[in-house]
Amino acid sequence: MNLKRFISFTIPLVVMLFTFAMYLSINKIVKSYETSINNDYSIILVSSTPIIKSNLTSLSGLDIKSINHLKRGKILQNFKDEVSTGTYKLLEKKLPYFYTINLDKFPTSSKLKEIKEKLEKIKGIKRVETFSKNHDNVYSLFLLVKSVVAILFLCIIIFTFLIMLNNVKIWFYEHSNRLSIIKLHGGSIYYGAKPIINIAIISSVLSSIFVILIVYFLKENLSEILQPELLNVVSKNLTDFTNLEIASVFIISLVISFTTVFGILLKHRLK
Amino acid sequence: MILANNICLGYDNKKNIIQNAKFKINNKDFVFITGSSGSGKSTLLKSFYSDIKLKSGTLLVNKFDLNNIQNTELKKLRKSIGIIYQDYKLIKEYTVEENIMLPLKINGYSDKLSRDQAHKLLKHVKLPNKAKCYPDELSGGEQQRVGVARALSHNPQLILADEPTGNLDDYSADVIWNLLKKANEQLGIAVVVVTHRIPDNFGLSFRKFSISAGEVYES
Repeated sequence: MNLKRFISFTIPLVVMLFTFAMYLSINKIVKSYETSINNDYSIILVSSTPIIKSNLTSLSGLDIKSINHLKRGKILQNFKDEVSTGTYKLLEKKLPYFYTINLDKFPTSSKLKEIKEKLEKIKGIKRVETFSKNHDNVYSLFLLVKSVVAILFLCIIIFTFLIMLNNVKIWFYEHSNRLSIIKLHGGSIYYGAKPIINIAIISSVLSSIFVILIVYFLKENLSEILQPELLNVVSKNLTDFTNLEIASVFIISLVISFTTVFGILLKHRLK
Repeated sequence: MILANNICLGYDNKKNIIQNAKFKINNKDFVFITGSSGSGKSTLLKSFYSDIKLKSGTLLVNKFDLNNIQNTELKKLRKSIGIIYQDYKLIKEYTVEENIMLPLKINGYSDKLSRDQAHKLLKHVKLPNKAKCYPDELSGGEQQRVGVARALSHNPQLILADEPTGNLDDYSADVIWNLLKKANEQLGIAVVVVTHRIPDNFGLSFRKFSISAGEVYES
């Protein structure tokens, strides 16, 4: 096996798989962040009548995770010493019901607008506060991170794929004489391309193992690389690199190698 | 074995090199195809293993119809033929032994059987100690003898040879002619040889096809 050709095939594959592993990890971090901001996010409802979750879900059609009643006693307590008994009793009678709503998923800005409109249409609801400005800022940042990661991953995939494609093309060029002799003897293009298919298989396995080792090495040495503030979030997610994700790195590696080699084999076969 | 009926051969839209050739080559025939340079001898030979497509006519080789032959059939046809090239066409990354084993491996024979056969043939071509050498380490004559051993390795029904002794020394040329004669006489393999000059005192009955001005005629 030509070591130079092997290395030039393996390096782009390692880069691509490492990017994929990072993409998986960053996606998990982003997802975990999404869950965390969703847990912290709530909509406030002011209603003249008491509300129960099932009624609100059926009326609005929203995926509501929980609805919490804000105790009126606590709010009234603030006024107890400042107003007369009569006014206090009137306040107690007239004060509306306050609720906080938690949603199943962190909503998009447009979805939030829709939610607000739906809630406002429900009879008895006086006011809906979605804190949309704050929400929009968080959501935009969140979208930006997600998009940057996805675009970066896509770019690296395309570039490394092109490099690999080029390497395989060079291999075929270097071995065109051998392939043509094999064809003249009735051998298939696959028979002639056995060495490059072997390179693809070995590269895939070695690259996958190498990338998984890098990920585990990074996980073990995160404290040296990251700021302490980020450490908790990141290390937790990297620790959760599941068997399924390890398998997906292997599968992606094999799929990319074989797509590259067999794509060019097919081109030669059709010639 | 080979049945040509009004075949026309040529490249692209240029004038036909071979025009309406009609002939039959039978099992066990030893045939020389002669003609001046550029007369179309090699083109005609290439058409027998479909390295050049027919422009018109019909051509049957080992019962394979070469008009619009499909890939799978083409592989089968080439597996049934042994070909000797003027430029040897040995794989430089393979050893001599591996080059001879190639047709056997393509035909699905085991490593051991292929290797044994390669060693037997190396004795026949008088290169018993060159099994592990690479083609670049051999002289032209030795390389062509390896080419002949490769062509014979899988016991083909037909051997096609394009100027097999064109650039060789007398000793190598003699070894090659003797091997081709033996293959024809003892194994009954049909042999078609393109050559400028038929060797003197060939010592075997043969047929001679000549090509002139695109026409193929037997003399």
